[in-house]
Amino acid sequence: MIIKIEKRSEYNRYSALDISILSVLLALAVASIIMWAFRVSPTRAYYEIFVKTLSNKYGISHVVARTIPLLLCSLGLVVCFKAGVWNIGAEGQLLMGAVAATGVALYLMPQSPSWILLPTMFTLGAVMGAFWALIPALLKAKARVNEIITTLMLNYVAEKIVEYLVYGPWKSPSGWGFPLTDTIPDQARLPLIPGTPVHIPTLGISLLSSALVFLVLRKTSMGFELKVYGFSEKVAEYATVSRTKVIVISMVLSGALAGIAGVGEIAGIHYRLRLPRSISGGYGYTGIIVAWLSRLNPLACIPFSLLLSVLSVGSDAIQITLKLPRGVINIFNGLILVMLLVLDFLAKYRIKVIKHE
Amino acid sequence: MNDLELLAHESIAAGTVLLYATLGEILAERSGVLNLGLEGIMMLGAITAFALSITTGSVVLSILVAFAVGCLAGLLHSAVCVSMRGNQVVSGLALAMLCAGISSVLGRNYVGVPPRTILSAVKVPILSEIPCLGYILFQQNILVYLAYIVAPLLWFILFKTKIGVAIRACGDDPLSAESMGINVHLYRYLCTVLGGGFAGISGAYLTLSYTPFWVENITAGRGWISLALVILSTWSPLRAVLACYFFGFCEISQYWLQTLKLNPYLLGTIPYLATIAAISVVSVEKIRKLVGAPRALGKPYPED
Amino acid sequence: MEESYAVLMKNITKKFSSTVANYRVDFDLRKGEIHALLGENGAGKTTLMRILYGEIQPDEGEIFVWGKKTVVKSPSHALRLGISMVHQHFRLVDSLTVAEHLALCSSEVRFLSKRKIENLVAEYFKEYYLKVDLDAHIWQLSAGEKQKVEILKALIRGARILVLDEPTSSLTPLEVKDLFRVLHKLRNRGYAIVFISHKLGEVLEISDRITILRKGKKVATIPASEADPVTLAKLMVGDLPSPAKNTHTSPPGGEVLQVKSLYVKNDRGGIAVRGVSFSVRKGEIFGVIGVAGNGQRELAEAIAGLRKPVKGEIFFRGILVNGSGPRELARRGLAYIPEESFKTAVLPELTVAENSILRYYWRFTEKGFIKKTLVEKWAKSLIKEFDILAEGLHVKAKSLSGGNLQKLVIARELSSKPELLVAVNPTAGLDISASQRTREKLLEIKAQGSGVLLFTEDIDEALQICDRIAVIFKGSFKGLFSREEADVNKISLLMAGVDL
Repeated sequence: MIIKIEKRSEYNRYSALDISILSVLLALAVASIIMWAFRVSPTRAYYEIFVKTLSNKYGISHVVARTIPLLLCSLGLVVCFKAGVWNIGAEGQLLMGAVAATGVALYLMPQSPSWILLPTMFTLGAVMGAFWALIPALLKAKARVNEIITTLMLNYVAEKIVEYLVYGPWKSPSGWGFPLTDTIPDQARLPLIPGTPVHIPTLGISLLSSALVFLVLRKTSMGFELKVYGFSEKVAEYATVSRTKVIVISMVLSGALAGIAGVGEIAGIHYRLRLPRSISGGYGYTGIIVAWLSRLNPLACIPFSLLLSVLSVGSDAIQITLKLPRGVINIFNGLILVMLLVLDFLAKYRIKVIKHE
Repeated sequence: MNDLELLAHESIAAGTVLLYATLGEILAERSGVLNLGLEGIMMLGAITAFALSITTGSVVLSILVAFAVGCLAGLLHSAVCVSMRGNQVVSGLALAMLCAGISSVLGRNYVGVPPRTILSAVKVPILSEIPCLGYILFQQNILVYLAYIVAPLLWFILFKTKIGVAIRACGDDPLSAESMGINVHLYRYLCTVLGGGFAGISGAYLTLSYTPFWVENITAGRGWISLALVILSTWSPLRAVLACYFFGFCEISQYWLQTLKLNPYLLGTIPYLATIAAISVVSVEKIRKLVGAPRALGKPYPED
Repeated sequence: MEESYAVLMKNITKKFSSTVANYRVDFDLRKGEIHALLGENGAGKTTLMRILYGEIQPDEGEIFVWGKKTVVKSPSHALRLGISMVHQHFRLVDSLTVAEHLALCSSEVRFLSKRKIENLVAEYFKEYYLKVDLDAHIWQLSAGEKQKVEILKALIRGARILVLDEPTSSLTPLEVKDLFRVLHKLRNRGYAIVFISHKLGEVLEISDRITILRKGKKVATIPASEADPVTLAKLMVGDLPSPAKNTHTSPPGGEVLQVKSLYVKNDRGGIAVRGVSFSVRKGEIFGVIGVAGNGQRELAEAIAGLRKPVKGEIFFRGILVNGSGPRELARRGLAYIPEESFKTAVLPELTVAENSILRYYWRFTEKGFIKKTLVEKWAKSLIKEFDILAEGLHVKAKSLSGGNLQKLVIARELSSKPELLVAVNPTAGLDISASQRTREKLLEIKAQGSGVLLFTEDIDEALQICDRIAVIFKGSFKGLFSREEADVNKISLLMAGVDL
């Protein structure tokens, strides 16, 4: 008996995005087995996550609010992954954006009017995020240093910097010793959809970015270069594509988008810098899953950001009601990616068992 | 015992956390499989060992089960990227998240629980009496000693036995390996599974000895640092020993520097910055040409 | 069933998605004979042998090994039956030593003890002229030595039936002689050998019987003693197209490329090109001939701006271009067809249209946007002019056959109106008519005034279309001939490193 793995013909019944959706469903099914093993009722958990979250304005508005940073991070990652550059550092880039925004609003120009202050916060946030991505980009471009490791390490460094600031020089004197900064002035705060935490300008920026990134990847020579480099470094060199340019531009763009997400979290949600884990609910990591699920299609990032945002808000809810730790979201995230790989394999190959006499 | 001896002693203790994971990853990568899941597997090993040591009181059982759980995680990774030819980077990240998630759920009732048994130092007869070195090297716990044996053993297997040649062949050129009758998938499975098991031991060492309590994210990036240490040690188990102890020193030095009134949060960045610096140094072209990564690292076999 | 048959293959049919690689092919192999499988590229020789070796399963047909009906499930199964195949691209691990390879192949060795391995190979070293340095790493060996390691691998694993796929393709003439000596010895000791080749001369010299395949079908099996080159050629290709002739005598145009004592390193940091100087004129085909791996790739890459020279100067259209990148050179009119272009100069995941602009996409942009209509027009014209078989402009390039991909590269580079074309083995792997067309196209752009720097391993090709021919050996030029004074014997000796 031989087990042969054969490639299926190019035309599949399921499109890549169908498989993405299936893999989310399959991941939820497998997660329910894990929950059951931990004596947590899956029906109750999923009821809390989906029905309860989506049945009231509070839940829905939080889902939308979390979609914003998630979408921004994932769009940047789409650009990087398209180029085959493994930026795992959106989390740190987001935090650095948040640091920049807080610094501008509290210390650099707290007295300025909104129309100067907010654009400066966004610009410097984007610059700071981009800078945080530029370091690994240059190391990779100039010395071929593995970017997975450097971006990950810089996430930890960014966390430490934030901790240093909120425990140290930026700690609010009126915060009863909690690791928090002062709140930013009113004119540094973004307008919200009334009664929700949804900050309008950032929502606009994120949706607009989807369209822009889509356009850049599909229609421009820059997009062509990213794609060519992403498929093969060798062929890209032959095709006169500049390696440095591809790496630096994709990383910087990605870092800037994550940095903007960080600004949004400060100016739209928290109004102050606090511990890293409170600022970002792992958006930089979850963005990886969004990017991968949407098959590096910037428009598909919108629905998948929403979907994972539901999971994220829902997981927070079950933390309280079912007394689960915050890490539980990681089970969903990890399983979704695993299932995606498994289903991709099954869609692409046929497993044949050949029996012989 | 003076301060420097203490520093060296503690550096080795801290380096051992990294060493098992690094050795395991060297094994996996030599066979051609990149496992980015180390961070998660270490957490999983850490919580299983901690939970078991509290419920059963047996340190040995705790270590063995942590090893087994790590193997299981390695098995999942190899199923996805060896049999199913999945992208190794994506699969590894998925594994890191999944294991982190599971370990936080597993550990939900153990946060803040004091340890019941910990791995205590065992003095090696005679050797521990050597001045200076005796204290540094031979007044440690059993897992530190085991590492003294495992690292050279792994080196011997990789470079002096046929099995090792076969493993390296799988990592460099699986197609040619197959032509010499080597079952590439089998070797990649074995190395990845064992590599996962080693990361599990790293985790067990963490909660049984180095920081004997449980919090979420207890590993604090040590899994990722181990990945960098594999590069720094240029895929050699013997150089891995030096690299890991050096990084143990980097970690310990921050506590030592804290006594000089330096800010602890900024000092906390030392291991991460040192990691970036270290892999930047080995990535310098001349060094990279001498000892490169296994050629087929990260590539599925057969390629389509 | 006669005992003397080592292998009998009956009615073998194998289809790949659209092409029929083998159609009802019969093949037999006797003990103690060298049986040549002769045919053009793409005639189905390798497919037939991969079926015997268990790498692919036939759609129809039966296989008998040592008189017993067998289904060869996998290469390891084939080895248990005593069948071993030496592939055209050697299956050796560069980073391992010869001894390590042989240890892997032997069931008796566990640890890497030198004495054991020496004992293991002593017989083969002595009896079969297969001596190789056991401590050498594979990457240090010449092609001929690698070939020997491959044969040793097979013998140690107990093979009695040896299949050699185009074994001479990367060997120098002297190494070929060496190989033939080994094969004769093996045959006399009762080994059965299949010799896959498309070179008539070699086949006539080495084999006992010859089976000719054409377009997947068996044409004939004849004893070598009754065969002659003319009939074999006819059986192999049917009616030959008349070869292109280099009739256009170039007036000595200006020099488009000058290379002055150039030194280039290879990927491992060794010197691959040592002190080469030459120039290519407008309206001239300058041929560089040599066995693969003598620095051709490095020289071509240095000229195309893909590899920084260590020393020396390159002038392109009169300007020093040592430090220029590939884009700068392409912009100034340098077209480049690299080695194995169907792999190295196209991206299978991109569409045909995208591949058609791969090296020149920047010519199709306006304000950063790629002009789709321009691209489509361009791609259509390439497909038409070069007879590329594609199901459309927007299908992925991987749906094209290797030959068509190669044609796409040739089309793209030749149509870019180059001042200088650098081409490395552009016709290798193409069938005879596509090769002829490519040569005609090269002559065409030469007539239009382009300079052509053609790297080739094929002496006939060089003599057919080049105006001047240089021989490259171990990174240096060993002689420079005009077409009139070029001489096959002299050139092949120089290629083998014999100084005249």
